[in-house]
Amino acid sequence: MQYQEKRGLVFLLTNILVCIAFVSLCFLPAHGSEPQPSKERVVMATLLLVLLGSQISVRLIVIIVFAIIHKRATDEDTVDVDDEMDDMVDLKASHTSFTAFMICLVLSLVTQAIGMPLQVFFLGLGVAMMAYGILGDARKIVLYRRGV
Amino acid sequence: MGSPHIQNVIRRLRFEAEEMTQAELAEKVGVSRQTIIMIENGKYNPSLELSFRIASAFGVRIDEVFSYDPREMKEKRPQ
Repeated sequence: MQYQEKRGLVFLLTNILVCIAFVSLCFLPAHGSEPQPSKERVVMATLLLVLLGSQISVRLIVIIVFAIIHKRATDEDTVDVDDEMDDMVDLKASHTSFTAFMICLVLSLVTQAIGMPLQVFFLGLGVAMMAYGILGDARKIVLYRRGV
Repeated sequence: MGSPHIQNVIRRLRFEAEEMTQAELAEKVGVSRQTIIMIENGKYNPSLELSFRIASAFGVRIDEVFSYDPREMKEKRPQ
């Protein structure tokens, strides 16, 4: 397995872990006191912002930690050259991520159009953000394995 | 996936160039070793610029590195 594949796999696993943490956080308040619509909206919006922030910060930390561990484990220099093939892989993965995000976003809007609760919309947005990260990383691994 | 109609002889050229390693070639042309591996295995078709850089690294013409077989394309193209 090449460096980019390993890195992609680590990113994918990290994304899944962040998503599991997010989902468990989402469902924690449900067991508490009686739900109030205005408060729930604030809580859900805050959770989404936390998800966005944590996805970015965790990724930055993982990049650094992975590079250090990889260097120690294999004694190889990290691949710091982002060449044309990496750009092509990024582009194709971004296309997948964007498509997944848009589908989830549209479905979230549909839930509002048919009069479903606001929590469903926020949950849909959360799923969109998670799908964006997970499907993009998964596509990268596939492209590095099968070819661009 | 890279087009199966484009083939290359990079592996042979490396062997003839005093068994140049993939890492050495990658450094010469300014890409990662992973990219050279993918090109050699036909999983990625390099850009025209990179193709010229690879040919230049071996001191040969571009058509001595890459070959294209249009017959298969014609067979697949709808009439």
